[in-house]
Amino acid sequence: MNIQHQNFQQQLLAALPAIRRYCLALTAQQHSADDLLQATVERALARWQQYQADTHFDRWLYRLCRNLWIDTMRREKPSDSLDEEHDTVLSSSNLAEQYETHTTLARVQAHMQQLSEVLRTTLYLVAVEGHSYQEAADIMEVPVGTIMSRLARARQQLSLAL
Amino acid sequence: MHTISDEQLSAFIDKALPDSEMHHINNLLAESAELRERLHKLQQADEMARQFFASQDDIPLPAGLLEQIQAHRPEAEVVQFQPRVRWPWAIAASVVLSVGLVWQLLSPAAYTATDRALLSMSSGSVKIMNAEERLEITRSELNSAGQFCRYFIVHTPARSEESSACWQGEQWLYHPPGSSRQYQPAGASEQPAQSLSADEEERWLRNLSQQTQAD
Repeated sequence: MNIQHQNFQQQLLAALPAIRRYCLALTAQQHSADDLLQATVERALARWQQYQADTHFDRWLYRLCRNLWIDTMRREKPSDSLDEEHDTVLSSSNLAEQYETHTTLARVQAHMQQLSEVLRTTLYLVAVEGHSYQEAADIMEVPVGTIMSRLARARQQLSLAL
Repeated sequence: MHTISDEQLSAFIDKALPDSEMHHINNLLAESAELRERLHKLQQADEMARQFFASQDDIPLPAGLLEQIQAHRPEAEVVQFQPRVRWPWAIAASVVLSVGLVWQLLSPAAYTATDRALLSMSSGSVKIMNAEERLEITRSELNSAGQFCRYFIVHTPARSEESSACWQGEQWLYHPPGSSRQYQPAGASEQPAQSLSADEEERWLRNLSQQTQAD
């Protein structure tokens, strides 16, 4: 048996929940997230030779997933903008009316889906997964200052909806 | 009035500010209900995000995904390559190969994975041997003694080097990296080596396959 391959399989299985949530952060939609997760796993298996023990496996997977999303799947979802200047500022009154009859979770989903991809992903990495600003910056390949400002805007926009 | 921005409050939540600034904001929070309310709303945004992502954990993973990972095997890939195309990272010889070749020379009884690849794969094919090695078969020829010889490159992340092996006495006789182009069997005539066409190579491989299966 190939020990390195076994280690790779085990780490991939262990990373699935986090990668799945990351897929949701990128896509904001459950069915798209599962499609992206499937594609990410397939690409990871095809490139498993790149695996190196004692390295940041999760970061490698995050990048694989994000690149896949950017290169292929996001093209099928043109309404989702990467441009931070086009972030939607939520209107608490409109959303409250629109989702008045929905459950709390449905409202949460709606608010999260209103965030831009980069704000949602940054918030996920730091506030949900507990990554440091530097780790999030490494994963998203942006400066730490960008992470700080994205987090503030993500929280600001969501707080307006409360 | 205070001049604390949402960006500062956000970094305060993450404890990502210098100690002095954390202390300063703590003092302001103790004095200002309005600032506490702003902080509370930003913290609620985090709670909203956690709810959003936690909701996914209750949904089963897509069917077959776990099985797909568990069923994956490392040696399952054989990639067809254009002749003479090298991996971008390939630059020099394989120490691992050298060790492997010495071992093969000393214990020829059982066919190794390399043996089997040389017995079955056409030139231009690449076989993934393990996590670090790819075997690329480049060409076949008959040497000056009329023996069927195969040239191949073992690629590792650090290096690539061509070696060769000639079929002799029902086994491959390997020639170390660097000697493949100068190899001449003992007592060989000056007759030049003859490169084999794809059809000729295929005939040789078919014959060898029958021969080794018969054994």
